[in-house]
Amino acid sequence: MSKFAFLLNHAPDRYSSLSEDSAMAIFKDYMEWMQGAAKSGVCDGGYKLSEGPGKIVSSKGGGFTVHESPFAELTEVLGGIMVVNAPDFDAAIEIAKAHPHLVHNQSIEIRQLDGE
Amino acid sequence: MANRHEKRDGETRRVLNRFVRRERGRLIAGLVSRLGGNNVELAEDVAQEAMLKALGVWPFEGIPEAPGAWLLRVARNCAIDRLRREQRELLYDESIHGRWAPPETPTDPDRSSDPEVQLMLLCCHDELDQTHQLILTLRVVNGFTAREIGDLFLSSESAVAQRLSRAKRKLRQLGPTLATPLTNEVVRARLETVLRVVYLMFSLGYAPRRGGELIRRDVADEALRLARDLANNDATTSPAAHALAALLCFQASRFDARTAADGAPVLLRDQDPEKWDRRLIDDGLCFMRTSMAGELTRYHVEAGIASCYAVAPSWDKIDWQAVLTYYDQLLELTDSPVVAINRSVAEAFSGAPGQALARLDSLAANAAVDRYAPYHIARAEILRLQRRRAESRASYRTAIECGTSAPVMRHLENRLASNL
Repeated sequence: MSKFAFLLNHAPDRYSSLSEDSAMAIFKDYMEWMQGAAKSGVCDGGYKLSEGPGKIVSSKGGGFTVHESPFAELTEVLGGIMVVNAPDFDAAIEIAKAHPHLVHNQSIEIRQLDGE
Repeated sequence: MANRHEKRDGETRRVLNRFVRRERGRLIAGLVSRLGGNNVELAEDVAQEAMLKALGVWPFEGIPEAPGAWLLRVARNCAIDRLRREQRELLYDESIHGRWAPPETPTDPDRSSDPEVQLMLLCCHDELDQTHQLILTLRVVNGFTAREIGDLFLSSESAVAQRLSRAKRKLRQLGPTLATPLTNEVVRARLETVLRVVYLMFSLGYAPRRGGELIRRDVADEALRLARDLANNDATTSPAAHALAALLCFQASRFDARTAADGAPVLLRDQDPEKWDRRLIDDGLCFMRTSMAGELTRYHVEAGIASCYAVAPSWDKIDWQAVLTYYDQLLELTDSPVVAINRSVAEAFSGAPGQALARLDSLAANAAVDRYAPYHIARAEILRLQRRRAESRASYRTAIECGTSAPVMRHLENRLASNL
């Protein structure tokens, strides 16, 4: 069994203009998926990233610069990461196909975790 | 894996909805007990924010061990942020810092300590009319949206939203009187109203007036939950509250048996008692025993009728004489034509269809009864028992013209088709 990271991307303004009802309905789909996936051992959980811009720290000539990430200008931003157990990449792809993220957003990037 | 088209209302979804509703209700009740009854809107807003945050984060990080505490912490931070942003410094100091500590006298024997019961009582304030009480309870205590409530009342989302804000405005105007928990004396005085609102809520869920579903299970389940809370709470427990809880348990025990796979209703006579929820029936019998201590209410009598059906091992073992005696008591208490209609159906089944029909016909002078689909359905059923087919068919047709929920309409069409 290998571990895969599902990187769930979405448009930066995806959730900012939604009514509360629609947002709740979408989030419930994710919850529903998670409860099933946690029970069956498919998903180990993950991390949710806060909405809005983060900071980028760079090293430059021995010093550091810090600036805000261009959150709003990006076409897609990372919303969260889920860790999924699957025998191989093909199985991980099948799991992704059933994820509600692909109903409410466009794509999931799958990366295998090294050494797992 | 094609579950992206999976139906929305699967069992997991229902459990999840119930969980969210439950947590939201508790959260708002906890917030109102800290912020005061005049801050219901603030409590609702920050509760909603906290719920959204929770449902965004929990799929990734899992449901925390104490979801209530997690939500309360997030909601509290939202409230502080919001008040700061609005620079309502004065309110900020008083409401948040002053009142954030758990409600002051949780062990005061004169005041009920359950925030959810307090919230229910607040929504049923005497200054509000019954419809306002009902929709405010559905919204604030049970977390139904304006759109869902609109579906229930056959009215538009915006109309419901307007009524909700009117009701909340009224509460806000009552202001400081709502800031402290109610005394048990006030609770007692308001109990009858609250029970009535829960009863109406269950009826809306049990028999939606129109629309696609036979039972709005979520609404009925919420009403049952409130009835249990009221029966079990120290301040609100009373024979009437126990009788109401018994009644709703009996009715809810038949939900699974009442709807066929295609959504059509299954009449009591044709229901499979194996599908009745025995646990709910036992709960109902238990509530019924503890309800016997005081004044007889319509809930007692209705629970009595429902219990006759619940304890009968089969349709032909129902004690119709007991049912009719209960109906006579109910008629005396309510003087309602709807009760009279139901009584005549029971009378017909007890072996006196002719007498039942005569009694039923005498009700038709009331124009409202003549436009009421269940009246004509009752008539059709009794005529069918008597094998008066043409007349029975005519009554089914009239019932269809009166209009009812889509599944019942289908049932009537089926009856017509098979009754030749």
